[in-house]
Amino acid sequence: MKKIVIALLAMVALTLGAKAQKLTDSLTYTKDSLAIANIKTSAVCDMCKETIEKAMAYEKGVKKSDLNVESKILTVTFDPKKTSLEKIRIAISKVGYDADGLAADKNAYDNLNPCCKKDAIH
Amino acid sequence: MKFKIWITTIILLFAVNTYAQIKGVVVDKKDATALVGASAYWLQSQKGTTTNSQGVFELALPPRLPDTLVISYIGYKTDTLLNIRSDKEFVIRLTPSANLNEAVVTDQKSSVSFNMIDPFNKQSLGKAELKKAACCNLSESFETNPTVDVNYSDAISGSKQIKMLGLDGSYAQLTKEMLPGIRGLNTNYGFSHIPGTWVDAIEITKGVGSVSLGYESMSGHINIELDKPEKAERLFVNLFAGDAGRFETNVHAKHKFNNHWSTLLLTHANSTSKRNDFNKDGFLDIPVGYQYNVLNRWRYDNPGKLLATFGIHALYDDRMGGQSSFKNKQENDNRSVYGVNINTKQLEAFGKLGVGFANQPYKSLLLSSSARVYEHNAYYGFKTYRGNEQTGYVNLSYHSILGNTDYKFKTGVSFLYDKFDETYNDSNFKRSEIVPGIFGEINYDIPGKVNILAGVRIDYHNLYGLMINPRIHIKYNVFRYTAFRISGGRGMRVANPFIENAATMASSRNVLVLEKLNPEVAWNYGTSITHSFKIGKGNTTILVDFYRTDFENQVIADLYTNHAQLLLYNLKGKSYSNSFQTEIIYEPLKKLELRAAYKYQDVKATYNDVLLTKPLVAKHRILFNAAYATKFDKWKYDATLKWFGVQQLPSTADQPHNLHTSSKSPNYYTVNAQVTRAFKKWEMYVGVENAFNYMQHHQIVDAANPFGNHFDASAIWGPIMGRVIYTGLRWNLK
Repeated sequence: MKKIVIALLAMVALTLGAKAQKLTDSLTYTKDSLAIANIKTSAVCDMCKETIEKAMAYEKGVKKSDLNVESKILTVTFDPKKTSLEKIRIAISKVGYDADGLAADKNAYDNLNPCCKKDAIH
Repeated sequence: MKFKIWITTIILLFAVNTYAQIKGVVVDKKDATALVGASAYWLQSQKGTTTNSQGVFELALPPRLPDTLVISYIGYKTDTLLNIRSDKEFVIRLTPSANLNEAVVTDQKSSVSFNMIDPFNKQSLGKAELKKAACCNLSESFETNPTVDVNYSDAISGSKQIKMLGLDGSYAQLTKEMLPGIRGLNTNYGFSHIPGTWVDAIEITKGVGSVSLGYESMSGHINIELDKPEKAERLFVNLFAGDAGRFETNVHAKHKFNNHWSTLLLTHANSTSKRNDFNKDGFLDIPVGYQYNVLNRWRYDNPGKLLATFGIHALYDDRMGGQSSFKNKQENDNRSVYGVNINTKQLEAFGKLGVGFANQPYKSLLLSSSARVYEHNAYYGFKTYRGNEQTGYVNLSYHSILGNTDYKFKTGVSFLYDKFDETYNDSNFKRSEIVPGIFGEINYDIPGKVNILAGVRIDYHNLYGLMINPRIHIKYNVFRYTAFRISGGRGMRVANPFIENAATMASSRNVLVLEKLNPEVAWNYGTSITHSFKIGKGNTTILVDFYRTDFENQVIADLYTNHAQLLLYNLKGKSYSNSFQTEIIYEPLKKLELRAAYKYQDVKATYNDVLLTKPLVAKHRILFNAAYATKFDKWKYDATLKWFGVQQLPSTADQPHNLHTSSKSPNYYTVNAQVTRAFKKWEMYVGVENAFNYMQHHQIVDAANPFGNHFDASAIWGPIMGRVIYTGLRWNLK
């Protein structure tokens, strides 16, 4: 029984790993070896833009970020030696927004201003 | 040439262009019915409008974008749309809520908000403003504000007193969330009993306040909103240390049980252990001591139906001061070392209950009440004071409209019970006040144009009989960005002369009550203009106001007639205060704010048949404040310069020749500055108070003989502490 559980967990881990790997592929690099990533978020308004960009400004290793509210794509420039795409996605999730495949942290999402929730009318 | 510049300036000031419009419809979130008469206004430019019979509003874009659009409607939660950059159409769905507090909208960015909407000449200080002076409690919260002056009351007790319109703080009404706050026996020390981090916002209203809150406001009204479970962080920690040996800790924690119930715990402890004597007069500048302070509040919210908040607040504070070597009471009792001990205890319970009415969001019923037991025990050398106060207060008010939302009214009943038991040296004074009252207030409000608030309250005081206090406030928007206000009304209060003149306990003066003291009564009239415009791209606001307070009766605290006595008697003759203030706030850049203010105060009262200037009030004062923040507030810089003009001092003419001091203080200035660095979850600050180390060096008359007949530590006109450097950190979990 125990073995089966371990095997299942391993499979899950592998699948997740593979998925993460696939998303990481979208990285491009600048001349001074900074990474640029495009992350799809669940932002719906300018207030969301402010929240996410602020979170990025305080995230270790992030040099620059810009969210396009229309396309919901966040373009982040970061130092891959100091942080990773995974960590950046977690940071976005923690302020209440989906980041690529990673769902928004429930607690943070619940605390968002009603105008920033996914079903808000704008 | 000069003429041309003037003309250009005037044209620039009043240049009003036509802008693109935004359009919106405001509806109820549940059933999508249109909300008629909801107000929509721009937070920064303060321009606004209301919705028509279909719930639709149209509003020109403000001159400076982005701006925040605020949509509010009685009985609904206020909604804000941030960072609107272009013309759009909106559907705004408001969520009903029981109308417990009249909503206070404070911008998260601008730390001070003037308003063009209220009939009151009101300023709100938000968290950002309060953080500009990180130390420590409410008495320091006004450091960057020109309207409220704060000074040490004497050279020994460390207590600070405020003044508004040049009049003592006791003439302003101080409420805590619209319930009785700093009043009665804690008038003097109450400011150090509310830790700065607990405060969510402070609203300062000049002139008489609303009749719905009681009869006590004369010079103004200051309302303190504490942190609330619905707004607070899950966990917040603040640590503070100053090089004058002051340490403070604040820990806040909130918990949300479900959609209805939440709670917030606010705790505070401070201690001062270092014995400071900056001016080397052998006396501690501020006492050593400690304070424990805890507040726990609960909230139950059933939107649109019921909103209840209640809590308790407990406090213990103990201070010891006097001569630097003072250690225990024994030394003081045998008169070898002059010592001071001030011990205060307070227990308070408060609650509010708001009831909404189905499908009638403009109607609400609000019950507010509080009960407090306060104890104050002190000795200053061989003078002793013991005070005990028990207060109970209930206010039931009903808010609704007359026909449509242009006419709103508020009416209700209130009941105050206040029992005093004071012992000063060997005399005991007792009194119980029982004051039932009724009030009514009508508000005619066409947003963006005119707002008239007229009210009257009638109270029956068991000791002083019938008291009728009418008040009126009118606001009129002369231009879109220009609000003109006038107000007038009557206020009254019963003085507690021992505690209000506690500073003289730190002197050899004997208190002499010459007659039965009557309630203090004053009329206050005021007018103000608030005007917003642009200088280049920068938002600019100018405020000019004038207030006159005329006392019908006042308890005169006479320090002039005799240096050995504090004489207390009823006013015979004139007593008034004229206060003129002008203030300009200019934001040349998005994160740079500059403020300058000038204030003229002329305060006179009749002392022993002669009209004299009230001592220790600076006739002229100037304040400059500059605040700058980098992107996303990573770094914040603040600096404040305050200049104080000459002050009249209590007379020393009949003191022995060698103890004569000047009858006027010199003018002086102080500079405070602070830098804050924010990180992901915490921030750190470093600051300096009184950067140029300016002090009133001679603070105490005859410091060599504290038990003698000439000793006086109560004539304080300037800083009693030199330069103080402090640092601290804030950590929070959202």
